[in-house]
Parts: sequence; structure tokens; C-alpha cells
Amino acid sequence: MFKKFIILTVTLGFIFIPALVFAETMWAIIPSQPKKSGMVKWAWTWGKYMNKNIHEGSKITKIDFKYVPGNRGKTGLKQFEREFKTDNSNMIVSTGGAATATLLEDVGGYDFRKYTPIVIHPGNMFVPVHKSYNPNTDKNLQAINGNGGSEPEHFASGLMVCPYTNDINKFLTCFKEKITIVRGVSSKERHVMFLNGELTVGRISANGWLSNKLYKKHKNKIRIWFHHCQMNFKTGQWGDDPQKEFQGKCFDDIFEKTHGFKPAGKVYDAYVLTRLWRDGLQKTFFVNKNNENINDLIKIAESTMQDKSFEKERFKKLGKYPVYIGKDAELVIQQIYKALTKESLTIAVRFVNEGLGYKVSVKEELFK
Amino acid sequence: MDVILYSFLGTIFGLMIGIIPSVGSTKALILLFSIVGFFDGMQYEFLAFSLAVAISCSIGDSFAGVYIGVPGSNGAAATMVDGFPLTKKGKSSYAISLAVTTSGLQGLIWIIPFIIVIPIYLDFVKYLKVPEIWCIIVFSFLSISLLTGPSIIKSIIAVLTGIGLGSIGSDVLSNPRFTFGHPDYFYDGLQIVIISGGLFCIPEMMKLYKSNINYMTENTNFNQIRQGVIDAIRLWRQSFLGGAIGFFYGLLPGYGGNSAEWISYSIGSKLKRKFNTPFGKGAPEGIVAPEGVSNASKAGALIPTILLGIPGATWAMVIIGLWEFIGFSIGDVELFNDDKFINTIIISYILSIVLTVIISLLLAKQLTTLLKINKNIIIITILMFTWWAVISTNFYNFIIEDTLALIVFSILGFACKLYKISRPAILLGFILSSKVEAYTYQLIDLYTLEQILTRPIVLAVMMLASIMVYNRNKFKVDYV
Repeated sequence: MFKKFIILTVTLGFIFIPALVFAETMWAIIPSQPKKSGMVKWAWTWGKYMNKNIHEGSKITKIDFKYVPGNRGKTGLKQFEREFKTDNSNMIVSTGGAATATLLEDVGGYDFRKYTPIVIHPGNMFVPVHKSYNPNTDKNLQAINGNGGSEPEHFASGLMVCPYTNDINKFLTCFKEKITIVRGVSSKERHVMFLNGELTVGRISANGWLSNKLYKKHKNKIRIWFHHCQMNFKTGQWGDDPQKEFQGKCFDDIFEKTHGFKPAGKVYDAYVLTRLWRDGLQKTFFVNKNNENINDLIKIAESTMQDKSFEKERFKKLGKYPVYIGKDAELVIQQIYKALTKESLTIAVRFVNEGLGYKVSVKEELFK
Repeated sequence: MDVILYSFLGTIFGLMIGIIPSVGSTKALILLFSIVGFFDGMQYEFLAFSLAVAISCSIGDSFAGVYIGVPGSNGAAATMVDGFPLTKKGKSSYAISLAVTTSGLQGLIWIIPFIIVIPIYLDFVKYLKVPEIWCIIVFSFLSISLLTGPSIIKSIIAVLTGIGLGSIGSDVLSNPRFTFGHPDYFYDGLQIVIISGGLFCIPEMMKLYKSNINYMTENTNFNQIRQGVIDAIRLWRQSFLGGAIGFFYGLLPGYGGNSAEWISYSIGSKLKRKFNTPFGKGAPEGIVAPEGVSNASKAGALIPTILLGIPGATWAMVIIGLWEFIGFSIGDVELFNDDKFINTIIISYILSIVLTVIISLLLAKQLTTLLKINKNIIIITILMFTWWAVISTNFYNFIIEDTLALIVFSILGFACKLYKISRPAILLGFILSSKVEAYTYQLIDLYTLEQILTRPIVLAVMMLASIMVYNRNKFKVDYV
């Protein structure tokens, strides 16, 4: 009996091991645990449909996931740069948080210019307030959840109540006076605290705003204050959110209506830098330059975009944001680096250090 | 359909693990960290599987106590007192039938409050603001400090140790803290499986190694099984009392039902009896009273665990870790948007109880053959799986660091066992560490003392805490 078992095991091993070795599985490296975070949901949704749209003759037979958690996602980025990128079967899933980290923190040499973007799927964040909120008289209470990536919302609502768009000193003084940053609020707690009235300002995605039961329940008490304007990366022009429900609430328009002048200046540019990096690179797949699977991946992504069932799911789960693939995606990278100036970054770093209270620094290597 | 299938699989797995002496639901759940990675994209299936493991494991616990006189976990020790003498008299089928039927019935009764609370919770949540949650967290520290372990001072030290361990990684503003020059490993904090595996799994295996197991052959007797079911219903007073005590202790944040079986045993022995067999010699009441606690305490513990993210018991601390690992944000009200989550919990809970009772009654003989496995094989297997669980949660990226950490926490676990320092208190402190810190900051940033002290729920929790401090000796039970 035991002998038969051994023979069977060895035979099966001979059949399956070579099959496993030669199958070209493309590993999407997710720099987190497999939690149902926005990043993981996005990667799973894309992965599911990309697998359905693998074309004949493609070297890639499957797209699967590897998780590299640690250091709030930075371990995965560092490991990709240090080790994984040279393997043709690896691509990295990068998000708005990773983009902000790349802009402001040490991520071990991880730099978008070193990689080829396959898919870039921008997004937007919405800043709701209570209907009763009066920016002139009420204290603005904001949450900071320590997860990074929320700098643009803090920056923008700060500018709404402290319109010193060209003077960082005045802006910071006013920010500290008019805004209370409530420390230690996790991303899950901030919704309840906002709806309970403990926070004046919220932060939510389009999908969350439209589908969250608690928000629906409180719709009569809250409203969208503003959202970030969106760049058309092909033209470099700024515009409104592509979703009809949210149009007319773009930050620049609301700012102008509130203060009577268009936002412009050094502080505003620093805000734009953070929003461009965070929203522009909201959800992405990158591979190393010269990865031999680039063409196959781009073709798979393009076929996936033609898939009607994917479109339906994408709109429902991820919002109606444009998707940039291949050469178009490279335009996104060009635009985000174009907005990067030492002055803007220095102001953004100062705001995060002094306004939000966590330590970041100006990264010289970004200007090389 | 998948939920039913995975509940069934979880039930089988939990029963088999639960039967092994010294391996209760906490240890069984720790082992699940080794396979959680295989459930990628199957969160609900894992939810059903893991809950079924926790539930069936506690029923399986009774087997070892009844058949070999070595309890599956601390809680099942009370069942053993009268269960094992019945086995010696050739009435093992009767004893196990009485135990599993009672445990199952009370489990089904005491899940009803949970089912009632869920739909109204979203309306209630507006009253739970920062001061209320802060108070509940502090209350849970108080409850575990006062109620577990022989010394309050030792329990406070344990809670503080847990809080200290939980502070490793980063502060509330996400600046690195205690990363010991290795932020890639420490920045996200220590994994719960490392601490729970070290504190609980390894020291318990030493206990199993030292235990003397004398297996008694089981011959399934269906007459005895039928009589056991009938008597479990006849002894409804002791059974319901056990359920009520279990549910109450399960509700206490952080404490759970650990060892509440002894309280039920003690009170149950004073109720009007139907049998004359002395306690300790095979009294059916002595089995029913503690067994009523078993699953009712799990139903009670589910309430603070799922509604607030504050674990209601030691097993719940581990299951929170597992569920968060797979992607559920426990304690987050957004979870209540997810009907599938709530339905899976309820279906899996009920199904696993029903299945466990049926399987236990019909296949007791087959199940008890597991008790014949050489204990050294069991110990080696569990140690291997614990290690695998530990290294797999970091996706094998930090094998050396994880292994070293497991060794360190195993030493801590042994030391705690030796010096009777509450291990659940350490784990609770660890789990709630970031919460207590964050809520303290929020309290400072948002409220004045006067605003805090004039809130009704805060006052009610403070009153409850005072009652507990005043009556601590009445509630207290040892579990280290």
C-alpha cells in the first residue's frame, strides 16, 4: 500500500512540477497583507478580468498575487526595487499612498521613472462636511489616521479656511489656529466620528459616498464640500470629476466661489503636487523597464478594457475614472514629474512636518 | 452553499483539534494562520471555516476530559470532574451525549441576543463616541486585571506588558517607534500570531508532554446517547444557568468565558437535583452546569468582538487577528453594510453547533481514536504548524525574525505560566494597545473633562467598573 502511495506521488510530481515551472505566471506584488483595502480590491478586480482576457500566443498564462507586507507598504516597494524587479514575472501594484511615500519618504530607491507603467488608474477623494458647518466661525476638525496618503485633503481644507495660497508661514499659523488635527483616528473610525459630529470634515471615495449605508442614513445632515480637480493626462488640463453626481464641486471652483479669487501661488502649487501624485497614481501596475512581458501585459490590459462585464464592475467598484495604458500611462509619469519642483516639495514637506506632525523630508534624489 | 461547505469542514477540523488534550479553540485558531493564505479571495469561506473551528473545538474539548481525564482546555476541566468517573463506570456515551447536547443547546439559545442586537446596532452607534469607547477599553483592562490570575498586581503588569508590546512599530502620527533599527520588520507592529503562538501554544505543549494519558476504549452505546440527550433537557435548570453565566462572562470585554465553567459548576451544585450521584463521582448535573457555559460564552463574546472590535475572550483575540488578516475590519461599523458578513457569522455559528452535536453523538467512537495518537507526534505536529503559522503571516519575508520572535514569546509564555501571570491579559493589552493610545489622544483633542464626565454611558460604565472592583472576589477565577 505504502509502495503504491510513493509511486503515485512521484508520478504526479513528475507531471505537475514541470508544468508549474514552465507556466508563465505573472506575479502582481501587493505591498500589504491581503486585506480588503482599496488597493487589494482594485488589484483583485483587475487581476480577475485580466486573467479572462489573456490572448492566444501570450507568454503569460496567469496573473496571480504575492503579498509583501511591512512598514506601511514601504517594505514591498523597497523589495521590488532591490530584488523583485529584475524578475520578468513580477509587477508591482502601486497606489496613491505609495506615490505619496515616494514623494516624501525613504522608499529605498523606488522611483516611478525606473519602471514602465502598464496600467494607471487615477482616482479622486471627496471631502464632505456637515451642512451646518460654517468655515468662518466653526473650528475645522480633521482626522489624521497615520496611514499617509491623506495629505491632499488636509492641505485643501486648510486652504479653504486659510486662503494664504502664496505664503506658507501665514498659512501654517492660520492652519494651526483654525484647524484641530485629531490624532490617532484610524481610517475605519473616521467615518463614524465624522457622522457622529466629532469631526467636521470627512474623507471618502466616490464609491463610499454613493453606497455606504451609514452615509446614506445621514445624507440629510452632510454634503460634499469639495473634491480634488482631475487632470486629463493626455492634455495636461485640469477639469472636474468625470462623474456627473460630483460635478461643480472641484476644489479650484469652490475656492474661487468662497474667496473671490482663483487659487494660485507657492502653497497652492505644493497642494497640487500632492494631489497630482496621490490621485494621478491612485492605482497602478508597473514592471521594470525592459521586462520582456511588457507588450503582452499591455495587450491584456487593453483587451480587459474592452470587456463590457469588466467595465460594469469597474464603474461600480472603482468609479468612472479614465484608465491609462502603455504609452498613455507614460504621459501620467511625465506629468507628475513635471509638477515636481524643489520649492513645491519643500513647502509640502513643511506642511506635513509642522501642520500634520509627522516627519518627512525633502528627497534630493527626486531631482536627479 | 460555500458557507455551508466551509462550516462543515471547519467543524470537522475543530472537532478533531478540540479532542486533542490541552489544545483548545485558542490554539486551534492560532494554527489557522498557517492556512489563511490559501483563502486568498475567499474571505467569507474563511470566516465560516474559522468560526466553525472555534465553536466545534469547544465541544470537542469535552472528549478528552470525559475519555482520558485530561481536558481539551481549561474550561473543559470542570466537565472532566464528573465526566471521567462516568467513563470509568462504562457510561462514556452517556457522559459525552450529556455534554455535547447541553453545550449545543445553550449555544443555540444564547446566540439569540446577538441576532437581536445586530440590526439595531447602527442606530445605537451614534451614542458611542470617543469617551464611551475609551471607557469601554479601560473597563476591559480593568475586567481582565481584576478577574484573571491570582494577583491583581501581576495582572496589571501583564496588561502593561501587552500595551508595551503593542506600542512597537509607530506612534499615532505614524512616526516610527521602538523599531530597533529594523523598521521593515517592526514598523507595522508585531503579528498577533507570534505573540499568541508563543504565549499559548508552546507552553501548553509542555503541559501535554508531562500529562499522563490512559486511554479508555469507547463502545458507542446508542441507548446511553439517547438517555444523555433526554437528561440534558431534563436538567434544564443547571444547563440554562450555565448558559447565562457563560453569556455574561463572554460579554465582559477581554475576559470571555474562561473558567466560568467552575463558577457554573459551583452554583449548579447548589440547585435542586434530579440525581443522587455525588459530585465528583459522575453526577450528571456536574457535567451539564459547566457544559452550558461553553458555547454560550462564545455567543456572548461575539457581541463586543464584532460590534466594538474589543475581543470578548482569548479565542476572540486570535480570531480578530485572523479576520483582519483576511480583510475584515472588525469593530468597524462599515462591516454592518456587509450583510454577507453578518449572515455568514450567524449561519456558520448555528450550523457548526448542529453539525458538531450530530457528529459527536453518532461518531464518538471514531473520534476518540484520535486520543490514541502518540502525544509526541501531536506535540511535534502542533509545534511545526505553529511555526509555519508564524512565518506565513509575513508571507515568508521575515523567517529568521519571526522565528526568533516566536522563541522570545515562548520563553515569556513559560515564564508567565511559571509565575502565574495572566497570558490573556498580555494578549488583550497587546490588541488594545493602539486603540487605547489613539482614543486617549482623541479624548484630549476633542473633549474637556467636564464633557466626559457628564455623558450617561460613560457614567454607566464607570458604575459597572466600581461594582466590579467592589465585588471582585465574587467574580474572580484563575486562568493564567
